[in-house]
Amino acid sequence: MYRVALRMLMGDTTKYIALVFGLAFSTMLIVQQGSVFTGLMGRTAAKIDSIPQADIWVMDPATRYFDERKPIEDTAVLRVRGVPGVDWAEPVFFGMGTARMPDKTFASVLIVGVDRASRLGLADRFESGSPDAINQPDAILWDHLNLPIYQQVKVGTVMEINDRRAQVVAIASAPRTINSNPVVYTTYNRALAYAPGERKRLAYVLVKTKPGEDPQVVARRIRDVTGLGAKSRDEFFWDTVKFFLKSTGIGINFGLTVLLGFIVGVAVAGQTFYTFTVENTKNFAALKAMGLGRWTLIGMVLLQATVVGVLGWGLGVGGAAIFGLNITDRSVIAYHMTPQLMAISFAASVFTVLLAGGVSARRVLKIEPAIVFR
Amino acid sequence: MEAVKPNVVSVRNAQKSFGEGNARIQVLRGVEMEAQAGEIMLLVGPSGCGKTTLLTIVAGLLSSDTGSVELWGHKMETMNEARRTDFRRANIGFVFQQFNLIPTLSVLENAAIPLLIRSTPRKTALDRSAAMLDKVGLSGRYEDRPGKLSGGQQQRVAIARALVGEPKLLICDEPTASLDGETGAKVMEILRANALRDDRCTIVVTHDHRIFKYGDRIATMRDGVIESIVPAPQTASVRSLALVAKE
Repeated sequence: MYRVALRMLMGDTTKYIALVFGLAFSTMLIVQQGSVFTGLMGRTAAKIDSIPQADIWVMDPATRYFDERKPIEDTAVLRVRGVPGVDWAEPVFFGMGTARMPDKTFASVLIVGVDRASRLGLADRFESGSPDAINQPDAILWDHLNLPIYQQVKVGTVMEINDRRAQVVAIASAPRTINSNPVVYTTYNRALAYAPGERKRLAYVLVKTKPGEDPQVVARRIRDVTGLGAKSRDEFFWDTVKFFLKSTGIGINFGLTVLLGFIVGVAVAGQTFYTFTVENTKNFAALKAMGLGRWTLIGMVLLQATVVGVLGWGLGVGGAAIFGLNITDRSVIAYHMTPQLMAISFAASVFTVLLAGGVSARRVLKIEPAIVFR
Repeated sequence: MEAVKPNVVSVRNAQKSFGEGNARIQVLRGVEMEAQAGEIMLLVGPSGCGKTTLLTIVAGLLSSDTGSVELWGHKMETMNEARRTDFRRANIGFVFQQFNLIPTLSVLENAAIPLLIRSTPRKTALDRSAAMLDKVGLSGRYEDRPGKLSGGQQQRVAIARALVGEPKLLICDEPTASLDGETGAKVMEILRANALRDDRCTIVVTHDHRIFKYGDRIATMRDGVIESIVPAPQTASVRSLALVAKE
């Protein structure tokens, strides 16, 4: 009879497609919006993620997340290097500046100053020019973030950053962050020259632990020995993500969209499936009259709901995956599809199926078989 | 001397009401009826007299408020719903006025449903379904959907479905109501051929006087009671046709 149940379900192609697509749409909305959300959240800490060589980030003890930089003294690098378990420690500068563009407009830029030798913190890809040219006088590397207004800057462009001359020697391409400011890479010392005069200007010290050392243990040691703040890369990454989640409302806003997708999906799929059952009332009544038992009936309805659920979920996840096919960590659209999202959407589909199937099965059980004579 | 045939259906003082309070309507007011093995009992009467209600109670789809309904000596009112479902599955076939074929299944699958419900292996069920469809003259229409068939053909599928499980009691509700005279006659000939077996009993609710000649007895209902039960008018030609069909 389960085969009969499937034939009943799939026999009416139009309704069957409407059922499956109702759930597929809901799943796609959940996964797609969820992926945009996780993509955006990932971008809040993209700079941390983009320097995988650093196991520990050292900072001012009051720093809560990446963009909240309270500079520390340059000597911090030397103090950190002396802590047991530290393999190497390098300075990195992050700060904001104002660049005068070739078209005479101004752009607020993120200045990243990296160590001349290690170049830790530099972008990992270059569209044109050479990163080796960073050591030339006034050299900067420009990341336009794929935003057309910043693509007027080419290799060879001369501009001013905070009223100081800068010449573009390469066009860089790094994973995008939550901010839409173009990024200027230069040497640490030149970055200090661009930055407004402050007594302390070192943003972070990047630390590699010695082999076999636990980054969290070494970070604690750095905190104890230097009095500075120190967090493992994962810890700093998640602190940054959590800060944005709590303080910006992104989580709630996207959560609402995902919830809306879920509600729409449950409503559409549930209603369509229930209507399908209602339209088959007489068929189910005839089957009951002919002696079909209640458990077989429940099984038939749940099988129908499960098939719709699994197909709808698969198509929805597939659709969401296609949506993200050409989106990378350098794209304007933030998109990061995770296994957790698929698990959540699967759970949502299971919930929808159980709800729709349960309500429908309840109705089928309540059908009076005598209606076949009316 | 003709042997006395055993009662298949025995209804005693069956009463049934629907609704509550002022809206309460008593549909059956003490029905007494018996149907015997090997006969077709026609149940006739004006609309609203309780024919279909009586049929649903005999089939175990509804319970009477008072009185008793026995099938082969089994009291239906003492069975719970699950037991009645099992009983129907094993013993009763149905032919509905509106056919109640599942539109998304093929003719072959529709006719096989009672066997599939009994968990008969699919291939066996479909083979027997095909044989039954052949008997009702629907060879070559196995894979059609019911929607592609005429009303008469659909009713023949419904009859094939009702008979494929070889039920001992066949319950038919207005089986010829939607059919023209010629098609209705064909349908009744099939039912007649089935009913000739001594272990079968057929109860047919009908308004269609053209098919009275196919019955053995006619029970007339009025206002919720059986008013009379009389032998049906028979013709030699009907009998002989039925015998030919049986062979």
